[in-house]
Amino acid sequence: MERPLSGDHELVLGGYGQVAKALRDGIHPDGKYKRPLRDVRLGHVVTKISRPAGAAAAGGAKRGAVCKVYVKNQKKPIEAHVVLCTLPLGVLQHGDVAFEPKLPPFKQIAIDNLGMGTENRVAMLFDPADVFWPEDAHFLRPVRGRYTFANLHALGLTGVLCAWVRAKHIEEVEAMTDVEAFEDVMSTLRSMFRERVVQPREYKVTRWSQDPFSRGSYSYVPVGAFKVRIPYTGPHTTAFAW
Amino acid sequence: MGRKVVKAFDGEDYDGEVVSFDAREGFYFVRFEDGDEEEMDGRELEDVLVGAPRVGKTGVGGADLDEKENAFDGAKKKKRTTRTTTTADQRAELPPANSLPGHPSAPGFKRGARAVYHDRTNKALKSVQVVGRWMADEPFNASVCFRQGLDLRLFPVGEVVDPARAGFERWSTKIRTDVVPGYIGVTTSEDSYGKYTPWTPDYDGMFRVQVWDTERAVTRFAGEFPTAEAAAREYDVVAQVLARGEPADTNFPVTEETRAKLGFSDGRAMASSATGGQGGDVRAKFVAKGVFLALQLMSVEDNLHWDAVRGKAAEWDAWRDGVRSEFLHAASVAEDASAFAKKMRWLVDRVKPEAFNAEWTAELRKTWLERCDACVEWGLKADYFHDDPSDSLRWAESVCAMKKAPGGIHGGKGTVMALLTALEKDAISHEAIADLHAGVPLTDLAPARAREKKARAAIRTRAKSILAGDLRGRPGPVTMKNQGKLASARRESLGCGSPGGAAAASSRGVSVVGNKRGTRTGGVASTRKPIPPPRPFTEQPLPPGLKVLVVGAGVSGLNAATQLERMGAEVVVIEGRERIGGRVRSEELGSSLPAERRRVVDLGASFVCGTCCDPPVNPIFQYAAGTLKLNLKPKHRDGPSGNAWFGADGARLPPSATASAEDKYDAVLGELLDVATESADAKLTIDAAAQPLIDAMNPSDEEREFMTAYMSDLYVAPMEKLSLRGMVSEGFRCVLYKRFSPIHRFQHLIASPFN
Repeated sequence: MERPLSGDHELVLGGYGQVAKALRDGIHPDGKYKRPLRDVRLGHVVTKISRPAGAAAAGGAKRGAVCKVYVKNQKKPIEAHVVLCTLPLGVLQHGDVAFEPKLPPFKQIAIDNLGMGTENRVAMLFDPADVFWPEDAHFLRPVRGRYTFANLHALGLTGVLCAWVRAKHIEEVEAMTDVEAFEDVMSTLRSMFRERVVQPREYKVTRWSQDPFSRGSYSYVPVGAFKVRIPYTGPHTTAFAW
Repeated sequence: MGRKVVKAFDGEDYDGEVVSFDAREGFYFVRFEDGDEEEMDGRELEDVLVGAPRVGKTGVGGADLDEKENAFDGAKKKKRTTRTTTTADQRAELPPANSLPGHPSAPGFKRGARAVYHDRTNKALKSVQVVGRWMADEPFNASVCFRQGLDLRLFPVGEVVDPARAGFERWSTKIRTDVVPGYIGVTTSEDSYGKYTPWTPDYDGMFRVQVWDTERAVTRFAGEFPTAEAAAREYDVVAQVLARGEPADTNFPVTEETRAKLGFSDGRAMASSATGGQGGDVRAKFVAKGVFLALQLMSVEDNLHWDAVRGKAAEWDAWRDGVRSEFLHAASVAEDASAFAKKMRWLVDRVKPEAFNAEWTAELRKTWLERCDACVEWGLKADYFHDDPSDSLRWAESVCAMKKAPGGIHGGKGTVMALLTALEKDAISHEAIADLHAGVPLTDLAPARAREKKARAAIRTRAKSILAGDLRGRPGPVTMKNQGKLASARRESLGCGSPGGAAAASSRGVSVVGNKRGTRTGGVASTRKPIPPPRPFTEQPLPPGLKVLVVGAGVSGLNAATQLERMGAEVVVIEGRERIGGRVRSEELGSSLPAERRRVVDLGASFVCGTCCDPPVNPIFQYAAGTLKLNLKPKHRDGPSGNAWFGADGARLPPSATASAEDKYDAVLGELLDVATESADAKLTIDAAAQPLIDAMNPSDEEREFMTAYMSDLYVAPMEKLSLRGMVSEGFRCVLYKRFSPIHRFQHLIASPFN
């Protein structure tokens, strides 16, 4: 049974990527030894996962029974006794990866019943001397408009202001080009800070729901959902968000 | 001499024998089969004696808990003398008390079974003897009137009950959820010394129905009956109402007929014929509130001394019956708070001025009555189930709420919740009532009132010092700037229950405010509580040469892969992207700038959530902060340090401009939690649930806009798509609970007459 974890939400200075990197480098939680993962293949787009009959249940490493994973632009499938699927919920929902035989209904129902939300950002780096927004508040929230601003500057990332696209406007903003989205954010900022607004040094725009490897960034419980136990991994299987 | 005894110890029964009696000290010596000897007094012996009738058992000190909870309950022990008398005929018609199931002398009752309850004062699990199913013959210790085994209702919400610790195998590890209401027991009545008459088969006193209010940790009174059966039946009724039609543990079988009588027509919910569907849920919510409040009101009445009130016994009986039938029993539960207010008014009208505390002047009483007349709202359940650790502060707060000028939400309007709490905790002088019981005449209560005044001053001083920032010994004035800090400290202390955590949060808060520009330094380790070490890694036996293919190199995949590889599997990770991390996507901004000016920004996951050092520790937090020693900075969602608001014209709004809207928003979230935790159906969206609540607040257009914006920032999907129940029941609950900080409710104290 999951229980909500108490405590703060804390920004990882230097990037959350450090955690992923440490995991790949095999740093043991007790910190005592590390053994990097031997075989991590990037750019391998899975198209189909086929399991031998009778080994559908997880861990069914029957003698001789082999799972096959087909990768785009590769003729030969990769074979393994066990396939551990950590595909994001959005990808599973979108049906980009075929399962053979089909997933059992309880899994498919669980997949279909959850919702995949998106949190898009327009991250901007300004010169520290140029900071024109309030420096202490962690969030700048206009009551109207498409964006809320996370003031990462106040959290230790000097000069960084990050626009978060509000849930209602995700599609609208994803339809824009990077430049359009950025200009949209800047016009919101100009309405708030008038002529004090300066141009950032660099900005980056995300489109998580268009990302074929994510198709959204954050799962949620939509209306009408009910509980099913799913032996999968990933954030959508636990109650707390990370 | 020679009598056999059986004593349960560590879950096993030991046989023994009484070998001698020390007449001078009054001890019996008992020798057990395993050679142990024990001295027992008469009462202890009775508990373990085989085949002996229960006699002459006097009350044990179970009331400690109550006394410590608040001064009020000290006075509570002195009851108004019983008004109703029972005729012998009445009693003869009904079965004797001891034939009730679960009574020690009833057939099939197993002695020696032990139950466990949580002593909230000493924060310890305690084991007690079960004496009946819902029947208790011990004073106050209604805590024993549950069935054998662990009763989760006695544990704080969210507490993990370890069956090994409690000595039960029957229950797997459980967590108490907050949907189960308090429980009820039937007990014997008190004499004028506050002692409960022991329950013997020939007991002929009154039987009281008592409700243990787990949220406030006090017993509530729910009526007095001539026979155990009548009391037990009354218990059944209240239990069903409290369970809102869900199956409840009752003394007698529940039939469709009795259910229908209570208004539980269909299989599940409250009487929803009039309102239907979702309305039924909302109605159930009101009923739950009404029941708790009715119990509170009945307890207030029960504590009054005859000399302290005017009116005839018959009038009071009628009043009591009215409260019971209109608000305690579901059949005719009025959704109308004003009807309840009338009941309160009736009571206050009949309390003599001498019984009010010295500060409860005629003028204040008049204000109270005016509010009472204008009262149309129940108030927030969150006010009732206030989770502030300081009882005294809560008490002072409710008084302030009463005295506050109208216009606010929490009590300012005069909700039933606020009025009744003010009445219970502030208006009636408990010292005076206690003196009346002790035989002091009504005209001579001045010393008692002076005592009370002094005690109140002490409470207020404490409340003030808490408000001044002396939370867990950290002095500092409350300014707008560090309110957020205080709020986060408080949240942390509520969430983790750790003084160290609170201190850490505060000091980190300071560094965020004080260190505005330039690089941020300072490690996590210096201020944070030590992070517990990870659980030892347990290797599962894998078939040799097992080949595992992990699809996806996100955090889940990588972690699974490292663990599998450690266990000896041949692991291949394949990833569609050209990078690892999945939705963790850290990118460097400022590639054209010198290295020290570049910043790594997370375009995906950026925050480690649930960074509390007390178990259960979020493993990712453990890994990031404990193992990797990464630098983490807590964000604030709320309060002045969390938000800067910008109006429709783009101009920044001062905190004062958003205060009332924030207050209302808090109230909406509180109500949402109520709706969601109690009864939301799966089809209810957060939006659909929130809109009527927002409407009910009568917000101005600006306030509505503010609330809508705030709410839309809560989560990653539009509120029209989010399921209320789904999101509140688990993960999302953190968001709502965190946002719903009690600090906002203390703000009015700052400008109160107490300062």
